Amino acid sequence: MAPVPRVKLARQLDSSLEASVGQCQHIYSVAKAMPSVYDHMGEWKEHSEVFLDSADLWHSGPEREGIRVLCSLLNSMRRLPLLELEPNNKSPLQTIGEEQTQNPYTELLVLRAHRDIVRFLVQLDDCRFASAGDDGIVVVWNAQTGEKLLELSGHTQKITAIITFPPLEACEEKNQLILTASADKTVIVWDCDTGRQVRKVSCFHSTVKCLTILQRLDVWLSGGSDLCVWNRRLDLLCKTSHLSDTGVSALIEIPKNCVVAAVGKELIIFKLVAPTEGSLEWNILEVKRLLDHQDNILSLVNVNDLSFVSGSHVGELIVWDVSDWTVQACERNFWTQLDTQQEIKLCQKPNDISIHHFTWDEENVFAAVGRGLYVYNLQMKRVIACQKTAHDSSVLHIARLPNRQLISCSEDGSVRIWELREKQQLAAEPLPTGFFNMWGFGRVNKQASQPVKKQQENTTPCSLELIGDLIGHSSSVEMFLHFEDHGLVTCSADHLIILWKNGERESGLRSLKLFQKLEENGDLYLTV
Amino acid sequence: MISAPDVVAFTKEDEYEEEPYNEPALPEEYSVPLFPFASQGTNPWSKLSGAKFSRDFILISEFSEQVGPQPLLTIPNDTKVFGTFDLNYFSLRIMSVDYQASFVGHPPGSAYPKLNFVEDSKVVLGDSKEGAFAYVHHLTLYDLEARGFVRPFCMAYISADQHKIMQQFQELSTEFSKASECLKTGNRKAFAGELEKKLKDLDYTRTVLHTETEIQKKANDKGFYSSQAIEKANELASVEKSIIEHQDLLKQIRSYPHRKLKGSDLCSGEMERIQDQPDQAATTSNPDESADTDLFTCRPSYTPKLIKAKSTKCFDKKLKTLEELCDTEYFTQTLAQLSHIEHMFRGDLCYLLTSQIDRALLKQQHVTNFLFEDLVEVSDRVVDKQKSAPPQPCQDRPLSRSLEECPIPQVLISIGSYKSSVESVLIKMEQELGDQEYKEVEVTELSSFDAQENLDYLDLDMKGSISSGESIEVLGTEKSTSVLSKSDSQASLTVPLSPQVVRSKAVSYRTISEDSIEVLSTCPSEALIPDDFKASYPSAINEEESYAGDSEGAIHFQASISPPVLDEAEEGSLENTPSQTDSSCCIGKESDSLGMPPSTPVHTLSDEDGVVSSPPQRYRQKDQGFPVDLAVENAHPSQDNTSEGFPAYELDPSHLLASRDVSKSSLDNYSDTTSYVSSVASTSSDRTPSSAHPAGPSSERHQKRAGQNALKFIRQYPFAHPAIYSLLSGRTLVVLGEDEAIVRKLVTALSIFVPNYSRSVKPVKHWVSSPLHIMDFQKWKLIGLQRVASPASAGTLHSLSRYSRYTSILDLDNKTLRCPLYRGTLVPRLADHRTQIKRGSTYYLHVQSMLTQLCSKAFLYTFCHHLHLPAHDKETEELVASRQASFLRLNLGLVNEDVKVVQYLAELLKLHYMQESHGTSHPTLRFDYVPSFLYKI
Repeated sequence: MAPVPRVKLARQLDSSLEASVGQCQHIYSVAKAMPSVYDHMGEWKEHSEVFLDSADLWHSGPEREGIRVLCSLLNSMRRLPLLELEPNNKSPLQTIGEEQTQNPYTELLVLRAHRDIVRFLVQLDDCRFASAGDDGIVVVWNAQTGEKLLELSGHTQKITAIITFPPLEACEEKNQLILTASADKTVIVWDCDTGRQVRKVSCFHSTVKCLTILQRLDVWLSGGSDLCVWNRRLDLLCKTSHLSDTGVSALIEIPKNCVVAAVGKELIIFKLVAPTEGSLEWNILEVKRLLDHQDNILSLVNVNDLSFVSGSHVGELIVWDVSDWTVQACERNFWTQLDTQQEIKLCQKPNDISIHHFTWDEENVFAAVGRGLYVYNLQMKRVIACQKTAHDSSVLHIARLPNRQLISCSEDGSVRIWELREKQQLAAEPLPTGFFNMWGFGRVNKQASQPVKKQQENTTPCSLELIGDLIGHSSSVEMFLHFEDHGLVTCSADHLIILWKNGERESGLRSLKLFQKLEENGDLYLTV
Repeated sequence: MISAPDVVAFTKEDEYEEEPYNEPALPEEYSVPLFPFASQGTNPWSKLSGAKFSRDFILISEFSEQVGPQPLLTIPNDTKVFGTFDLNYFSLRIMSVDYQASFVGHPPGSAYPKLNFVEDSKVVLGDSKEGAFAYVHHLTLYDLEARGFVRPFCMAYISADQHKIMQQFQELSTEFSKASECLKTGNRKAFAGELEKKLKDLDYTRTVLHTETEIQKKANDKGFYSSQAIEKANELASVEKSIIEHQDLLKQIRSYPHRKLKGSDLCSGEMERIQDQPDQAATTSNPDESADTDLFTCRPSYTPKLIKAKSTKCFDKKLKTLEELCDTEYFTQTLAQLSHIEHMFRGDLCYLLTSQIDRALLKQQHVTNFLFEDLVEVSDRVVDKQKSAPPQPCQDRPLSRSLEECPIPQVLISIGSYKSSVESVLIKMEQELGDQEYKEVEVTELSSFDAQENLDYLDLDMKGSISSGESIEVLGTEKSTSVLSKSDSQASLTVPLSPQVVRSKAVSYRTISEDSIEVLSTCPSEALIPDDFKASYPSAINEEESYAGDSEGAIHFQASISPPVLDEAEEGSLENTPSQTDSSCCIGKESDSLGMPPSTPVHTLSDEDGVVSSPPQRYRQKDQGFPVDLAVENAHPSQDNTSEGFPAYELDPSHLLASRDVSKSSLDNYSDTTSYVSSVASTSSDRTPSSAHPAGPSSERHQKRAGQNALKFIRQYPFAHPAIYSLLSGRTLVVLGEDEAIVRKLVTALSIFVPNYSRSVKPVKHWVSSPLHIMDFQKWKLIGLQRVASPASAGTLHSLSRYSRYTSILDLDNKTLRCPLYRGTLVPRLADHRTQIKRGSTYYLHVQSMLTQLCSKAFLYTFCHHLHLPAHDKETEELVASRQASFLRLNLGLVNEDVKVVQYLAELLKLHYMQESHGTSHPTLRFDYVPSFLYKI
């Protein structure tokens, strides 16, 4: 059975629709031509949206044309900001009500220091993190108190990459270093205990877009239009020839002194030759080019000792063997089941299926694909759970928590917490019957007024259940960082960083501190 | 908020005794004393005893060298305030008791006029004929054109309540000293400027004369001087002398701060070429365009003039105004300070005392008091006072002292010593009574008491002498120029004065007016004033007083609270006196209801301490309300009054506040016809210059209005409880509406329920029109939000719905509230829509006391050690949590959502406690994932 397309005609609650009576009448006149649509336009007045998901509505020719007209008309009414038309290759956004018993984050702290989009967060140690963004400054924060510890300014343009440089075991200097690359074509090494700018390299020909550290060799690599190898003292050891103008977009280390660089559609394997008795020179050699991706590679991660994963703009996920660089598995069909309906992509954005970010655990790779989340099992080599519309907009960053939970953040400004659960028997979901199941009505905010997914494919044994969402940012949430002890840090395009904390635990900690202070002051009298 | 004034006033000691349960007594520092004058049979809120003015005011007078004592200005500058009160007469009285050692001129043995930097004198003065009592602060300003360069001024705080002046003497003195210091600083500056100008004039004149003399010399080569030439030379000489004199004056005025410690000596900086000539004359000369040597570069823009002859001695010249004497800047600053004083001491003494006690007690609650209190005004004043005035032990006081029964917190005891910012000041309080025999007794007795008791004595004695009708009592204080350490000055307070000293002073007094002036004490500094000058002091002949000395030393005296005769018509015209009409009518009614005939003759009240107070009968028919009522109050134990007591309780705050809040600002957009207080308050208006101390959010009027509006809100909206719960539990309440005034009003009203983060920040935003942001919810707990009709509102509404989990939304236009459910019992008690409370101020106090209770619960919860920490290592968090829950439920009696309120307050307490040392700590936004409900009317 072919999937049933659905049109959601959403309307904002305020009266702006009434303001454009003329256009409304036009819509009505169009809808009148289609009796089955018109029947429910009346309902539209009461409800904020109407779902048109009758199969025959979509398949009969003239009505389908009518819907197109209707949709374009509605879209032209710019005064209706929430209006959107979505074919059913998007499930409606799953929402959760105000009651979120499993959501531990009941306290937040807004941190304000940046003057532009904050794009990067990096953990320094157990209680510190650094943030960086388009304003070119790096700020070091205390994750517990939210106190701003240091502000490192030295870049004149936006920061494009940031990485921590852990101190060497043998080295006397125990200070934590961070490297930042910027669009001003410099890389700066900071001492984030003192805030001192340790060194600065400004001999790049292009913006360094990624940095990686090979701790074993105590060198670091910068990826721009070429790949450079540096040692801790910032001496250039060796570099590759010019790779591409767009530059290296991702860089990971794999065993045998090799690195994988994502350059456009290609993955290039380089081998690093360390100095031996024979030659004192460092060298970097191109070993292999992997050309399996059809579009630009956006994400590249090491999954475990055996494999690494890359994801591309068109939704290809390829698992590679880490030793012989062969394709272990490939998942291209996140959207294959929708191919039959591709021609009615009414407002599907092109980056809807691009893979922005990966996270992983022992057996699964979690991928942020467009607006959805997918769990790909490495053993079974298939998607075991998915949430096709996890957010209103592209998912930018995901991370896994220990307790089978997953956190995702998105361009829509929200952060959501998911839990991976074994799915119940399919029989639990009754078949829709009757008229109102065919025509689902409901508000966006009402939870599960509509069966979220049509189980046309019974392939996913697990499901991702939404257990909480964090709403605080007013703009795209770029990244987040999870501290085991201090909660979650999110950074956003609204220049803010928000520290989300477990309110109960914080309360307990505060009590503890209170009594410690009382004891220090000598005000604590314990009765025996 | 701990003690509403009315509660204190009606509390009798026997009430406490009958408390059946025996809880551990409150610690001493938390006990609320009884009203100190309650046992003397006076009304706790003493009415204005027939004074011709409606409320307290400040009078500035001058002893003008041309017209004698004259009033300059009053604060508030409103004729309604002082009414028919004779300012001219009273100026005469207050100016005639200036004993300060102001002396300027040629002291014997000095060649030049010397400025004498005298300290201000502070006296208390009573005029029972006028029904006025005054704290009088004399000060001297310098004026180059005045006789002896000085212009004596005085500032007087005039009140109908003598207790108030006596009790608040220290505070008045402190505050007036500030004002005086401000005036004098400005005056010194202006005087120095004046001298500079004068010096330039003189210098210019000298140059001109010099040139003329030279010309004459050249023209006249005969070898002898013409009379014209001699005259010129004389002129020149006198100018030069004048220059020296003025330079010296300038030096003196500039060296003021140093002079206080070491005597100034004549210095000769740049006068070497000026020879001394004794002749005093003026000069005439032709205007000439000669180059002037600018010796004094301070005012380069000033063009020097020639000094005209014999212009300084004219009496028809216009004296400088006070504003000219001081810098305008300083003058306005002084006015601001004075109107601040007027605000500060406005209202009944009982009210002032209670609020002082209140503040003193609140100061002790330093852990919790930031939550709901406005402590802005308190902090600075009380702190240094407490430092300077350590509590004085009062065990050795005899039982016959009325104040002794009332352990008064430290604020009140601060009368004992006073440490000014300039120097340490010795205040001596002595007594001088006409009756020698009595004086002997008094003085010897006095020696055994500390300074505060001296004041008490004075107080008692004053009372006795008021009945004589025509007397002025003077309480003299002296500032010694010798710098004493604090301990020294305190020690000297208790040094007994020998009767001889007092008597010897009394000898030198003489009468200066037909009214008898009784000088209780005067203490011109022996060191400062030459003997001949002291002889000219006005002194007093005392009227006969009927004092009867007790064998134990206790005094029988006549307590007269009755005013002198008033014409019926006059009283009628004075009916605008709000508190007077209030009190007499309401209490009169009450006494009627108790079956006491208004014409009951004297009620003699005898307390166990042997003090007999008998209200005089003369004016009884006029002021029947008061003595009668008091008799009722005292004769019947308060159980009798319990049924009637409640209405009185209801009425009292307004009664107390009425005199304090007589003014109603034009900004007050709220006029409620049911508001009794505001209708009374509209009788007069306040036009005092807005002071440098803005009437902040803590002002009485603000509280009253907020209380009234909150009361209105509670009555009007059935969903007031969940809204208030939102505020108390830290969930931001957004008040949405189109009309800014309405929204602002409601936000102000509801802000009384908002717990503060810290002392400085009040998390209330009255009016916002831009879309809200997450930061706003972290910062503010109560927001007034503009609803715009245009499409621009989409963003605002969108952000509101986006952040709906952090907010409760009160829609004023649609009369809806969207917020979580509330099922507790706390808020219904706090905000009962069927409450009997009618007045805003009463309701405000009710809220404050409820919130205090809540604070103490939160305090207990926060600081109970075992609730938050595991008893042993193996105890799980769940066990601790259940212990907390049971404590909140069983020990604190909290149900359902009330728990969250206390938990929220506890978090604030913790943060605040930590913050005190930690420095910057950010307020966190705490929230719950709870569903909201939509409430409609």
